[in-house]
Amino acid sequence: MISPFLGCIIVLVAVAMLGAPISFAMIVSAIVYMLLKGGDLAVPAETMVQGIYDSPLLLAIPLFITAANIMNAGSISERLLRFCIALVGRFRGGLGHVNVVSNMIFAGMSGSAVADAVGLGKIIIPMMTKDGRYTRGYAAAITGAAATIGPIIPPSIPMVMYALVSNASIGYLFMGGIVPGLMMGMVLMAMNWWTAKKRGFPVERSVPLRELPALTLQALPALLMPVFLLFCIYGEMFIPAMSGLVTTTEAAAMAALYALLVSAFVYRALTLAKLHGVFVESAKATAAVGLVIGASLIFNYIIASENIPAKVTTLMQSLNVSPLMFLILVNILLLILGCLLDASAIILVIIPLFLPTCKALGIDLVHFGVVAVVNCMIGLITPPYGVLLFVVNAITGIPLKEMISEIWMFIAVLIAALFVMIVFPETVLFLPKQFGYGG
Amino acid sequence: MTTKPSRLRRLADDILGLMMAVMFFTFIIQIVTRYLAKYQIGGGGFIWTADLSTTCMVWIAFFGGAFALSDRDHVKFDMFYNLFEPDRQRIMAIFTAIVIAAFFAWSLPATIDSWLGQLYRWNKPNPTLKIPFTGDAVPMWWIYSIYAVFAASVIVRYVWRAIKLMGGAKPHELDGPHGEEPAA
Repeated sequence: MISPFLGCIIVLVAVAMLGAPISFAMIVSAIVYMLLKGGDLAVPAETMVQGIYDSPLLLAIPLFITAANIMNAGSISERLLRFCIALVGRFRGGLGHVNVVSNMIFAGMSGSAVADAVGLGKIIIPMMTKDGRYTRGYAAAITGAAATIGPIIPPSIPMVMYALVSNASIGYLFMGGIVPGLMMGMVLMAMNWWTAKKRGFPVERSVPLRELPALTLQALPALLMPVFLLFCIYGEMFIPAMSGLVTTTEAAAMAALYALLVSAFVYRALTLAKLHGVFVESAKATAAVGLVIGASLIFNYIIASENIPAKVTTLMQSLNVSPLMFLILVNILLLILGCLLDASAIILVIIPLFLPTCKALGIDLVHFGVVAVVNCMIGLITPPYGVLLFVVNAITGIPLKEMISEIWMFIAVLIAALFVMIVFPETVLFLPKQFGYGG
Repeated sequence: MTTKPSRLRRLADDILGLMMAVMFFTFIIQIVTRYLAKYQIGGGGFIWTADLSTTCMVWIAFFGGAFALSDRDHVKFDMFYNLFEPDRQRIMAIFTAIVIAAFFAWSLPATIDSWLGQLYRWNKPNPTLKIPFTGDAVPMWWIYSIYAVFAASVIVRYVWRAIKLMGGAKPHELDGPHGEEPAA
């Protein structure tokens, strides 16, 4: 007789591998677990539905998805790109830099790597490949790589998921992502600069500096959005009267409202029909993610009742690993899993296994969370299962093969940056500590 | 596909989009009332907004899962599946469809009886949501019942899918046009 937990895992892996939706595979395996254990078959549904109902933080996810979709529909992405071309197009490998810089700014308003790749990729990839100036594979690869910055610079949907399973402060997690996000942008730009020199990529016709003020003014409402959002989240730290006024979730709603007002009234690019489309598409994405989150909650319940995290802790302690070694091992494991699994599944199901060990070893949960999310975002571009590669393929038709041959060097520099974040926790924790984070 | 299901599908999409809009504007109301409460009115503001928006979240997930998402819209791990010929994929899809329908069906009676039924018998009220006009509290089982609708729909849809596949249809033909990628 196999143990209920083993049976549950076997069913999960088998059903998911055969191509069923992950959320359904998790629900089915949880039901199998209850059957083998002789427990109440209502528990999976109850855990899932009440878990979603009792997590108000989760609401930030649909609101951030909506905000990003409004920005893409309302031409905010486009104006931002034009500003970035004027700013950094003049350097060698210009459009590559434009790609990274616009992703960094976009990251400050959107919490989803997929939304970033869709919104910016649709416009910049055709620009890059026009007249064969950049190879198709390179244009697609740098777009995917730059989109990984999206959920690192706040806001961030994956960090909301991590906060949900770890109870770490979402405000400090967001803040901890700022420096790592900038680091990722730097290494990607360095890589682009080096490649451009080696392969002789073109320089854009430099936009005269006197045109810059006008272009900045046009992009200003879009550029102000990250500032506005950060102000909503962190305002209470500077202005005591704002304390408790806006929660992270409400800041997400404010971001969506701001994007809505700017697109509709300043840029006049958002019609009612478009807005309807935005709400429907955002709701569908929310339903898909919501089911995975709900199903993960049942799974975490099973994992907790089987005492798995405690077993992992005992194992790690018996191996006598140092905190640094533990972090490195977990990150290697996550990178491997990132090649195969969906990022949200890793964050919601795999990462909770290691949290008790982190606490036992004295590893800071904000540091661990930011590092783990960066790791999972790298997983979005690692073949064979790289969601961002699929998305770019879907919007441009550039074959995966061409993308994959160009993506490796970007993966390499991002992993190098990840390694620095692991070894020097201050890269993550410096900013939060300036604002009162005690660890 | 005939036109009728696709019209129903569009209706489901519209309802889903409406829930999203309600959630969004509920939040805006919440922020505004909290702001007013802090500076002018005093007192706690409208706490019903919190319950209404989490209700929307539950309903978007399960109503969407029941009626608006096709099989391909879901988050999947299909690397292994994609290695196979369409004929093999058809067999895999029949197997998973039957497994999903069977286990959802197995657990549904218990779910209705011991969880939703208990909430119904206890008549547990939502703390802040009221029924318009009558002013009675909204019972929790109303909100959570969407799960039973979801489960029933999953059972029906996957049984139907299995039958179609056994009749020789290819899995990708059964899904509508391109779905949205999941957000990550």
